[in-house]
Amino acid sequence: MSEKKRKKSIKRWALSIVSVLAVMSLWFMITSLAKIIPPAFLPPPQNIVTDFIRLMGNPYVGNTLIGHTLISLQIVLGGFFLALVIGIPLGIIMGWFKRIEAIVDPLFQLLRPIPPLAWIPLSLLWFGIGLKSKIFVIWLSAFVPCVINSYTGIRLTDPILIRAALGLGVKRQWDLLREVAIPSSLPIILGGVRIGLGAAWMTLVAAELLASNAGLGYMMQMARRALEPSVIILGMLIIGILGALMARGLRALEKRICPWVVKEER
Amino acid sequence: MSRSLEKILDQIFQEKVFLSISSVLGFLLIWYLVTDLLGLMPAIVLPSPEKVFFTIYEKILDPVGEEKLFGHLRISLIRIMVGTGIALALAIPLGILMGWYENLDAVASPIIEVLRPIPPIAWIPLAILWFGIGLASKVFIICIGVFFPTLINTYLGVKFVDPLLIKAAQTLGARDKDILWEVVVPASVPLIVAGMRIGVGLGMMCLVAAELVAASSGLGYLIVLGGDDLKPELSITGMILIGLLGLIADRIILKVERKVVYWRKE
Repeated sequence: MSEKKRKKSIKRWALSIVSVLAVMSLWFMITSLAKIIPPAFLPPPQNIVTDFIRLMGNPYVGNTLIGHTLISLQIVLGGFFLALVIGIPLGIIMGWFKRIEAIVDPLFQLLRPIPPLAWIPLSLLWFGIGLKSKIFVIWLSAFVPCVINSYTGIRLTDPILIRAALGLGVKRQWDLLREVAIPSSLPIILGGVRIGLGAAWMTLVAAELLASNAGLGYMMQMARRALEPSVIILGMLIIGILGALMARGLRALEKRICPWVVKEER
Repeated sequence: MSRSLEKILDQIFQEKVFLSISSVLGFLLIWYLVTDLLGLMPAIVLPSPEKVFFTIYEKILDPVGEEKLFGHLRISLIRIMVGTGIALALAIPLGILMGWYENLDAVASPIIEVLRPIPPIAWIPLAILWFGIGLASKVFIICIGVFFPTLINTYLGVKFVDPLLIKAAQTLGARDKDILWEVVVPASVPLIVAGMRIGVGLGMMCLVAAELVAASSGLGYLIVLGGDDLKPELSITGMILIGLLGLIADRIILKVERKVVYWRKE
């Protein structure tokens, strides 16, 4: 059985590698060898590597690649952490106190269907083209999932747990919230954090495409105007890799904070 | 006992409704106060609620750019429907096949895993370069937005079908193809629909982003035009319509889900 499984996994790996190689060589052939597609439309893969090396050393539209990346990271992380700090406590409070929920929830439902991206023009009007306007929209995009998940998590607290705690003599609401409800809802809250991070990245790119003077989105927009798709693809790859890395990091953190969930998944 | 409980519940419910209504009214009142009555906010920063209302009324009759309000709505609607349609037609069959045939899974997975972390919005510059600023580039972006969540959920839905169901069908003499169509696909419908829901939500964001960055019509264009012309009431009009559109789309999918997954009662 295990021999069979091993063979299967080897076969899977082989197929995967062949598939990636096939796509890469097809890409190389149509752009570089046969030149069916002009490089202003789809650049050959090696151009992306040479552009990467070029932009690491020389500034492109104002900054080097590292400079643009750092600017984007700063904005994403700023908005994202603000969203965590405000959104999670608000969600928890909404989940725990019915009256606060009754006041805040309708406003929330009213504003929620509007995609955070759609706030970008208003945000530019309110805060200008600089850092503040971008941090505001990114905050908004990550804030909503943080609140919703924290709220849902608290709401879904198993009543048996609460009754057990009450039976064991927990008297104060605060203790009940801190010792029972919040720990039991952590997995859902962290799920919201993960969704928020994804939303923050999307919004960042949109905000930088639309109005910016630095950052990865700006670099891509300028590259589009200059008809340099290799720089656009480079930007896409960096955004993808950074997003994937941050999601990985959050996963690892999740395993640290609530190891019992990971055990259950196994 | 149960009667008094009912009474208490009734009271809480009524209090909740009361708080909710007064919260929305309070929101509108504060908005009205800071803009119109006290004039704390100049109209080019935050227009008053009745100005927004009259803008909506006015733009239904008078054109903005090339279209009237419902013309822009129609254009956005066409874009999202074409994009979503193409994405679903590709993602659902591919997801089912990838979940069922391991060789196809091994070939397609690595390529999808490379493309998936790239936010769909980061494709905008490349899409404009490839397809111009017309319908095709918007459809392409929306397509990418809807495609990945639907694909992943369909794939997981097929993978996570209860093995007991498959074994039962095998014992009863079903052929592989029949098992796929009669057992696996129906059993994975709930996850497929859940993926569609996430996908369409993301598609709405992509629509807005694509129309913000480059368009001369559509709701996103209204939003960005309002920002550029210092007419925030126009932006808010666009945001309200986009929000409504998203809400309606979500409700339709939920309805479809209830119809299709009739055996699952909550």
